[in-house]
Amino acid sequence: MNPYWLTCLQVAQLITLAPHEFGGVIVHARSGPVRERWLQTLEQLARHHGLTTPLRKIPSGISDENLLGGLDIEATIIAGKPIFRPGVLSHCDQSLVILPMAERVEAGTVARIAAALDHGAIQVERDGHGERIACAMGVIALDESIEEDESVNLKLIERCAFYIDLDSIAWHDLPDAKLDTEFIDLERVGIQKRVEQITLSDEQYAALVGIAAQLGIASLRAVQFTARTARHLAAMDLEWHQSEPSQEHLERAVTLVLLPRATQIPDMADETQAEDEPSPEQNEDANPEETQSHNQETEVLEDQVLEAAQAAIPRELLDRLTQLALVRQKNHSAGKAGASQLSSQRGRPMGSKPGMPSGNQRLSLMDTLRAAVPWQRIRQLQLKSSQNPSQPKILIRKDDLRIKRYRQRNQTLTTFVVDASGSAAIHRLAEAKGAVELLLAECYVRRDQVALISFRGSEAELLLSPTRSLVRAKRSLASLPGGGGTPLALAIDTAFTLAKGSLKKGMTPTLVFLTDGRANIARDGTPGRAQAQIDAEQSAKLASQIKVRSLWIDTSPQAREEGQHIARLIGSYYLPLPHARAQELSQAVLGVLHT
Amino acid sequence: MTRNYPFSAIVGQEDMKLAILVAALEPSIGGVLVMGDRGTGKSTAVRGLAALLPTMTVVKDCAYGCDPKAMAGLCATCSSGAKTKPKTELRPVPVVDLPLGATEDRVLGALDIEKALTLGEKAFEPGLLAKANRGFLYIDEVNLLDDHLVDLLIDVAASGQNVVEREGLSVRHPARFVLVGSGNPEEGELRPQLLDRFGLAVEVKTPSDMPSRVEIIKRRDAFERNPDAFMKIWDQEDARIREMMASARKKLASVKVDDKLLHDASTLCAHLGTDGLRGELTLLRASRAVAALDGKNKVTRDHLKRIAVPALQHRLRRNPLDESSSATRVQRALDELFA
Repeated sequence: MNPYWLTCLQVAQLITLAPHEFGGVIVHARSGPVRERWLQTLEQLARHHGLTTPLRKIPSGISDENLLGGLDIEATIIAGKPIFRPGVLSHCDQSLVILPMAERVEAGTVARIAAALDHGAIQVERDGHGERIACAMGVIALDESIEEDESVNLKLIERCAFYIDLDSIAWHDLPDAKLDTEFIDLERVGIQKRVEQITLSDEQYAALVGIAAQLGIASLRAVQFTARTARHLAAMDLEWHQSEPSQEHLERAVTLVLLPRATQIPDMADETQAEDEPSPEQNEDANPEETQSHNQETEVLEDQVLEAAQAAIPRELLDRLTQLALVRQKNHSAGKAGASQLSSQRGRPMGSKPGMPSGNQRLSLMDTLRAAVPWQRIRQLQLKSSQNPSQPKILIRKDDLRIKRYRQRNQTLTTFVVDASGSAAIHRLAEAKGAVELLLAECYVRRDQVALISFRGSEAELLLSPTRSLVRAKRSLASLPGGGGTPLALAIDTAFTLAKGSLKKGMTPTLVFLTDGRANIARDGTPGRAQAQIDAEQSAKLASQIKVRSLWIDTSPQAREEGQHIARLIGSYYLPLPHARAQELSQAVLGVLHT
Repeated sequence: MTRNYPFSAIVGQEDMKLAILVAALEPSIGGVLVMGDRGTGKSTAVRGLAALLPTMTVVKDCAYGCDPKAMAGLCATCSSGAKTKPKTELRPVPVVDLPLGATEDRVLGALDIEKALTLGEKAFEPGLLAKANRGFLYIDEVNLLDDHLVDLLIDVAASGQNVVEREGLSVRHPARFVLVGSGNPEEGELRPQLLDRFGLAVEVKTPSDMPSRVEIIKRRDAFERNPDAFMKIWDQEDARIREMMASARKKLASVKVDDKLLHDASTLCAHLGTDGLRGELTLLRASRAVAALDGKNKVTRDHLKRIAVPALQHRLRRNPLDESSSATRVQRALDELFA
């Protein structure tokens, strides 16, 4: 049997015991039997603990109307007065909700859910209705992300105590289903009472904070969740009668909450070595002064707890978790929130206008009602005189109908594809950086989104996903290293894949290539100028089928034919810039982009 | 309803706390924006603010909380009955939440559909902006607020008046509120126009020193285990801050600013190249509020230095080629000029 399965079951147990206290669970798993079984157990536990079942789902593209509430069309018309229909979140107090495809939930929706998690309530101010509704819930976020640039919104990760990775468990490793049900034997009320009596000692608090630091976890919410988990574990342990959790409880809590968030794993075995020869990384994180002020006792406890927690889960998994955490960390600087923040297909709501709802034009009931209201008396009189037996409460005519209007502002996404290979680095990387920074500032003023792809060595990397955050763009640009080969084909592929994606989202993509155009790495990563050139041409031909405005800035000291050739194949505007400075370069780019 | 964590129990974050107190003491500064990492207690601090504010006198039953002493800027009902002396009542200063997902009609106010349908009466139903009049409007995740709401807010905040022209209604009412916002800069920038509406801006980070981190966790856990007992412990501290605010409020008008300090403020703003005079004005008012909180009669350079970063950092022109943050640029200027 896979021992990790027990951990996953324990997480299910904890979250159903105190959904709101723990915020939620990020469940990294693809749809499949293991996930099904975990969810089933979760459901059983939820029922056992008196939560609402079946668990409610919040679909990833949910509208505010369905999430927070809105006017109920049918009921309003029948009653003749506005009837507010509560949204999903209004029914989630003291329960768990499932968030399928959590990696795809819009930033705005995540923010609304996060607010509910923070306050245990939602404040609804919509369609003539204002109310505060209790919503102490927990979230089960089903993270099905596969690609590196996909991940659950950090805001949500921050607020969920637990993270489990069901993909690491094979179906044949699962024990008999009977074992799962053995977990269901605790009484929620009794445990809740016990939890209040339990508190951590000062050393234990200090140890948790220390461990978090060692694991490279900055957020204090995580430590808080760990303390909370330790208290719950002690309360669940019916043989434990002390007012503070045992060391074992602490270890378990660290395993459940802190380890999956680790961005670095302190290697216990090599500790003595590391002390003699501190690696630069450790130097940064372990501030010597702090360690000194930390008293001896705490330190011992810290080490013991951490060591045991690490031993409790298989090494292989530990590595995996660290990797996952690191991927997230990278995302943190690369950033994704900005991208999903705008739903360009829908644009921003701009009130309503008279018209018939049809197809993608949606009825704005509130405005329709408002338009109809002034005429009610007259219409009622008219109706009475016409002796209509079935008289509706509200008389709405076609003229009253209002449809929702969105301003379809076409968001522009400017993607910079920067050549950071050795040849380019020597000549122009600094200049290119400067130019991109100036352009970034310009994009910021125009509220455009920007993205950054750099290519060097054997890969092209999306350094910055589409974002409106200038802070982030600048940061990723500043840390852009140079050197290595020129995988031009890969760069073109990556750039146009991104452009295609943004076209689908309703944005207008523009690509700016800054390169000397001298490909020397083929698509499969092998060096060789000839093959690289062929591959680049092939990529360029494919790319030309996508209608995207692009600009090719040749940064080589003398304009070269190779670059010009590729640019022509793509259909790019070619701009040789033998000796421009950043300012001139950006002027030139702006000139082309604005025409 | 969940209880708010007491303001005084927040560990560290002195800049943020000072900025919030200054903004609460002197509403004319124009509020405060708190930006920072997740889990740094941004919204905790802002929500704790409500508990520190005194009560205010308002015209009885007025939906807009009009000030009986004010002669201008009253709502239609209050100004029409101005000849007779209005009845008054005491109300807590409002701290109104503008939640994400709020619709325009709730923010601005709109025709009361219920009354219209059931009574056939054309009545205006005041929105959040009316509720926030003379108080604070708090927007958590301010950078995620829908653009069209931001536009409305900017307009109303600038004029102090909310003008509603819809559904055959024509209503204008006072809406003077202090904007308080919080958010995470990683999730998108704030429109410069809105940024400008905030008097002070602070950046917060999670404390990195062990003792404060341990203390934060301990207090949080204690609060969670027994909120009532925890609140009781910190009630006294909160009361102390409340008293400090009350005496600072009395003192504020009499705090003196001499020409030398005016000169200092102008030099600093000129050196940093802040736009217009708003920076200087904010800096002066904020320094005066800091002095009043200190119980001093006169503003010193030290007061100015303590509040200069929050007062100016968001007013600097962006320079894409300067790597350093605005806060460091202000700090650098302070060090250079007033070493």
